[in-house]
Amino acid sequence: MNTFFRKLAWFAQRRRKEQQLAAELQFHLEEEAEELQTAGLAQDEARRAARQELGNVGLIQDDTRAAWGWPLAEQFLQDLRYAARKILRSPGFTLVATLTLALGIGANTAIFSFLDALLMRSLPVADPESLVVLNWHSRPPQEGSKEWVHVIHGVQGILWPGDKGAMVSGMFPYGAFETLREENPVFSTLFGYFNGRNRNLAVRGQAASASAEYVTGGYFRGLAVSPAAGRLIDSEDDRPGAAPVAVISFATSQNLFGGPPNAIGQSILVDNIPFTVIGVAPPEFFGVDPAVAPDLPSVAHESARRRRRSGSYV
Amino acid sequence: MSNRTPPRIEFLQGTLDVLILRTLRPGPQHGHAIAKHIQRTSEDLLQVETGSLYPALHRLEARGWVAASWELSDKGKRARFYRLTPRGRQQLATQQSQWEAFSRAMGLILNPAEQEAK
Repeated sequence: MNTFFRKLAWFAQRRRKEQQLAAELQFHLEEEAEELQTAGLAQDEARRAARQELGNVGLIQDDTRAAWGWPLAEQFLQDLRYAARKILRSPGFTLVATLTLALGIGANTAIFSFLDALLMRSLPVADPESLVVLNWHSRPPQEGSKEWVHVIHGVQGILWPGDKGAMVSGMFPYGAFETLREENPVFSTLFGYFNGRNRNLAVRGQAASASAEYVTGGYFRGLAVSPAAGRLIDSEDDRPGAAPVAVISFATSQNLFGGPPNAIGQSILVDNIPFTVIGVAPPEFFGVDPAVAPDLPSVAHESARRRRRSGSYV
Repeated sequence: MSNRTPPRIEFLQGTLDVLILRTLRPGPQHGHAIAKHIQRTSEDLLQVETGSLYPALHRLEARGWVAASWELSDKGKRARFYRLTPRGRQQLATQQSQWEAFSRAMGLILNPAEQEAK
């Protein structure tokens, strides 16, 4: 360690050392010349002989510098300088190489950021570790038996094969969800949601395409999210006959209504069904699926009921 | 350089360090004086090349065995003087005993007759 710090200190005052070494060698040269002169040589002859005796000054300086330590750092700097010269000499090649690297790195970064959000990061909610996703496993259908059928058929992308010919789905019939919620010994809250892309969102006669997440009453309680304004959907909104209500994203509240407080109480049409905006989600909240960041993170239960055909994702 | 007399002995690896340390034992010296002292004391058998001397001096300094400072020479010029540090003195003792043992061993093997005569 001692040696390391000594070398470090030296590295800092490198310039001064170079000059000192030059002065030291110069002194050696003069001393030698003087001695030869005393021995009887003429002045210039003595000088020449002294210089000959000294040898290759550049080489001596190189060797001495190596004794100072850090020849690796030195070599690295040399390499850097060499690289810089080469790069400047062939700008065309450099441009192509740099662009290739830039595009490659850029593409990788973009894909990684996307996958990172999708697969690695936790949801921005109070206790992401405590969340679980339930899937429906159904055994392979056997001929003639009505008990062995899959619970969902024919919806592209929501069925995938499990063990031993079983089929797995993230979709539950609403009835199954209700049963699970009522006879639930394990979970503190059970909620369902369904992603809807390209919903027709109409506000004050202006229509736009928006993505929405249809959720059940326990959604926000289960995720432990607090509203930025108004209130969030709760189980009261999930009762049969309750008024259809919606919670909109922070960004949407700014874009459509000029801020979260103004959005409360506004009525909007989602696929031509009127909803009342009762709350605004916090800015960092984007629903439960990072691949779809809904403009309306949550539209209340009534629509979920309407979408019962498709079931709810629990 | 080769036309000088008498013919010189090639330095063995590692010998220069101990010679420098030994030369510095009486007191501080600058590079040129160290070279001359080694040359003279060895009856011109050993000629220290400048190209080996200064790297060696700076290496010894980096190891902390000698310390250097700029002082006026006896002729009134500024010169870089080297002096032994306590660690250098220790190192000299170690290396000196190693070299004495080595040269005794060489003597014993190269001149067995003398040994028998004793």
